[in-house]
Amino acid sequence: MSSHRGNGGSIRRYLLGELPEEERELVEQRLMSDDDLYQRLLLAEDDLIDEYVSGALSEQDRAKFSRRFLHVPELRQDVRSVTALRNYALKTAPKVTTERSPAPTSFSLFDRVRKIFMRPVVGFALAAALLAAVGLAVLLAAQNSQLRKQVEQLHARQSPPSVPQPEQRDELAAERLHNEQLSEELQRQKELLAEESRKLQQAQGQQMQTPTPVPNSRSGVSSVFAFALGAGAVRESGELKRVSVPRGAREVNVRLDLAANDYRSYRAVLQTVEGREVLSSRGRRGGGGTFVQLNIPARLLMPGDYRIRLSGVNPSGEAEEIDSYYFRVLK
Amino acid sequence: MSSGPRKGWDLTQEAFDELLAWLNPEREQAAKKYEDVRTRLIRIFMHRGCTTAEDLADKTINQVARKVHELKTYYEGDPAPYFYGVARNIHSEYFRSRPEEVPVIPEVLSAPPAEEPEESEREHNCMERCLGEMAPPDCELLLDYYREDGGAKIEHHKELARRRGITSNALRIYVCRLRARFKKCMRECLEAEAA
Repeated sequence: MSSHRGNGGSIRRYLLGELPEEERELVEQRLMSDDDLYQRLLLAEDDLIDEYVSGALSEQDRAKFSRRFLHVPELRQDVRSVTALRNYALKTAPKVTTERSPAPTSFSLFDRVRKIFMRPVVGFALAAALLAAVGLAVLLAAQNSQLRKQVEQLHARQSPPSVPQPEQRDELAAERLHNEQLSEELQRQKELLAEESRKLQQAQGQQMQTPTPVPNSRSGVSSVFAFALGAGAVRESGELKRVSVPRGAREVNVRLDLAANDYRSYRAVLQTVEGREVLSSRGRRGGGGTFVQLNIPARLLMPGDYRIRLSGVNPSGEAEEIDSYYFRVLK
Repeated sequence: MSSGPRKGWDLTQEAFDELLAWLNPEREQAAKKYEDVRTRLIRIFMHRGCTTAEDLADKTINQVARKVHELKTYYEGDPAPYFYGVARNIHSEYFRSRPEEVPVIPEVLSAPPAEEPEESEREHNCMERCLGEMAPPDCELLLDYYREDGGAKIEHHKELARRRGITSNALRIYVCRLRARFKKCMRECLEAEAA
């Protein structure tokens, strides 16, 4: 006969209805006044319910449990509540494996800090912060790179590189030489044009009809061919200005006489009369603003009819069309 | 904690006050003792298979209260055993009067009554409410307590205890109290939902 003192075994047997009547009454009497025994009863109830819910009871104990617990409404409800609680706990369990290593005998500061960082919430927060930091770093790097490129482009537009790359020096030297040659030619042409301007000013209306050739390359004097155009006058007369570009000419400088000098800068678009654009360029103002000069590579002027659309660039940078100039290239 | 007559009592307030005074001269201590006695009686009736454990416990207290006037003159010592004596008699009457409520169960029972879907949803709602009413650390501990099964459960509980700097037994007792609160909340919630 088991002791009626209420040890764990007796309580479990009491709960499963295994105790004889006398022993059961002794346990119950003690339950009324023994706080410790009553607490152990509640613990034993919970243990039994947990074992039943998790399927850990033997078949016999399961039958006894069913008889004692499941036909009393309050106890049955307790079983259902614990079942629901257990299922909920298992369903909402975080996917983190718990440590299986033996518990240390003492907690060091390192252990405490480590435990803090091993908590899922802390881990997730740190991971999120790390991802955000990486994303921000990538974004800033991309923006930085873009800004650098923009700055370089601005520098390139504003001034030539102070230290050109070795492979660009040769090109630069060639360009400088070319520019020097062109400058010399230009100076010569200016002088010639100045003389022609005087003549043109004297007989302005008629002179516009006649292009003013410059010495061509056949005579070996110049590779630049120049002529002047007046705005719209040819169309009005029904005749196109005719130009013969010398065979050796590398460049054709066209002087576009201005009816008025309203702009600081000009833009000229050379196109065929069919509308195909041949060249678009800034026109250089000359003659105290009386004309605009357009420099055209000679190779672009095939035989045919052409139109030059001249636009003035206003202070806001917008181009405003002023006039058109027509001519015919003969070869 | 209740400090007044329960529903169904036909005792006067005066008799109830006399009962409390017999349990303890201090009113507050008496009320605590009263609740203690009532809770344990309910438990005993439940574990005796009574389907109306609360009513039987109240009936027991009612009968004792009626006799308090006499008891005061001769009874000495802890009142609790007297309550048990009365409860035993009431249980005997209960058995005699309602034998059909005591199931004659074969040795091997079938599974518990099948769940009704509606009941399950109510339980789930009550469960969420009851867990929500708990302090978050307590709720987390209670759920954590059930997150391992089988052989891993013992180690898991040891780990939980270690994290909190308490013994496994202390954890077990604490969780038992949390569970008791949870079960009580569930019962009350389900009664309210069913009403």
